[in-house]
Amino acid sequence: MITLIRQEFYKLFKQRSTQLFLIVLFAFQLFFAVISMKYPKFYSPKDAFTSNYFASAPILFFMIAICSMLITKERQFGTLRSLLYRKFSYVQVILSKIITLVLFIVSTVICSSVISVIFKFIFANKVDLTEKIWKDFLFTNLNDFLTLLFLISLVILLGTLVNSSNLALTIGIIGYFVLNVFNQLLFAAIAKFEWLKWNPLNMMNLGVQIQSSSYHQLTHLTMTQISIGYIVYVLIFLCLAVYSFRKKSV
Amino acid sequence: METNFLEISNLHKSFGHKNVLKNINFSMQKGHIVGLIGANGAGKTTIMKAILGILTFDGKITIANQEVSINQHRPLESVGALIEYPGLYPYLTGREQLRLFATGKNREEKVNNIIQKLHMERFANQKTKSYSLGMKQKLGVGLALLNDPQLVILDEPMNGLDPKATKELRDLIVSEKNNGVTFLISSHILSELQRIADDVVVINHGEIVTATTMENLLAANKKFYLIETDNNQLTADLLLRNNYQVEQQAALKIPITDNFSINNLLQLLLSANITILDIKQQDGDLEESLLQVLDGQGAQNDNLN
Ligand SMILES: Nc1ncnc2c1ncn2[C@@H]1O[C@H](COP(=O)(O)OP(=O)(O)OP(=O)(O)O)[C@@H](O)[C@H]1O
Ligand SMILES: [Mg+2]
Repeated sequence: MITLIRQEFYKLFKQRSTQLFLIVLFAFQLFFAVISMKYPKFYSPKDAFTSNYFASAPILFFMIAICSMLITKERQFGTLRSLLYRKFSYVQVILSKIITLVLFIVSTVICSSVISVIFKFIFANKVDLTEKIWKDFLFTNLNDFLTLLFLISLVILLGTLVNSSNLALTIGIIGYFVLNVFNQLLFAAIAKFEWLKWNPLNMMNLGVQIQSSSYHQLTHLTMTQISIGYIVYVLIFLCLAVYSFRKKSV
Repeated sequence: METNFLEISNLHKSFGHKNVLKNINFSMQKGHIVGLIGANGAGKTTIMKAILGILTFDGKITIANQEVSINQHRPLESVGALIEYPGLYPYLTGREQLRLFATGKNREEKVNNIIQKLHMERFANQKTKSYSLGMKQKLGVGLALLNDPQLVILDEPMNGLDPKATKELRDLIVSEKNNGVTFLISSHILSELQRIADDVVVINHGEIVTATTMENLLAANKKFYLIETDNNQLTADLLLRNNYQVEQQAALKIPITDNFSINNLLQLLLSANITILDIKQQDGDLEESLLQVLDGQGAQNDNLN
């Protein structure tokens, strides 16, 4: 398994797009750090920092992109079968891919946070690091991470179901926007039909609910319920992805 | 000691209602090169995929006495393969591609070894998206041989190789075989494997037509004398009267049967005052006789249906 994960990382970092992404991510954060320093009225340095200099946007798009193409790219290159006709099982192959992605996401989120902290000292030195600011900052990161994890498990499932890279990518990106819009509509619906609170989209609010427990009134779920619901849905998506991958003909 | 390294028994495979493999049985001895011969669509690739555990199938396949299936890949540890076309990451160079798949200790050594063995020095550091068909094919074979496999499965490995590269690959396969590596190599051209295969399995429409040694197959392949005389018609009559077989063509074509003696034949012709203009021995066309076998079989099948 370590071998497989090592190989997945090797492929990931050898791709021009990954290298480009890391550069763009850094530039993106730098851009907003500079903006908040130059135009503090337009975009306050404190908000800029607590929002992690908007790192979540590029991270989200890039991760959706690679997750949706996780299997379809291998198929396109004709490499899928050479991954499978080794001593490793189908399950090990797909799990190694998922684990690699999660590790990559975690390290990217951590990196972007560290960069934010560094930028804070360079570009927003006047902002006092009160406990509240720290908390807001950490919650933003946690929330972004949880949303991302939920989304990618869904996109990975999609990616194993469809056979075209472009289709999976389009569904992934459109899906993200649709989810965001629906979330607001759903709150209204949940208020009417209590059972709707168990739908998977609602679980994506875990991050915000951790941050402000008043969200409970919108989600109609207790902290425990939403946490368990979140984990269960992620696991269901990933298990279905593994299952559908095992049925692939190569 | 001769041992069966790979064993296939009662292998059946169907896609929907289409029976693609019907009761395939054969085994491969350790250190042998086995040719898997069949026309397009005969089922060669499907057999190989089954052995490699990337297909569901009925029947039993064992490698070194360990059973392989879609859920059981353990025995594939010692197997290298190239199926249909090499799968390559376009953004990696040939060397990186090899590095990616190399496992165990001294990976760098393995990579250099393969580059040298397949004569890829010239293009190993080039991204594979810029490779020609033959370069890709070489790299694909290299990947199959990379991790010192015991069993190597090559699906039409000579595809796209020029005559020089084909010869080099043949030599490489033979030298690996001499190190104890077992090979299963498919082709639709028998002559491609004629010089290297120890055994042959001929399949047609998903069924085994013959599974025998290459020697036996070649022995079954008739040799001829081609004789040209001043009067071929007369000669043919004379020979037929004396119980020779004659397949008359432009020249007289006389198959060499058991107890055949060229002396007797010449004596017969000379005593009849026939002038011999030309005489030469010719090997039968292996491909042609194979096609006859295949055609006969195909016709049989059609009758059955
Ligand atoms: N995934 C599949 N679904 C349906 N039929 C298939 C599938 N794969 C192979 N077949 C059928 O199985 C038969 C054998 O195919 P296979 O690829 O094994 O032939 P082959 O001997 O390798 O031929 P070739 O020399 O053209 O490579 C063909 O009739 C093919 O149409
Ligand atoms: Mg084939």
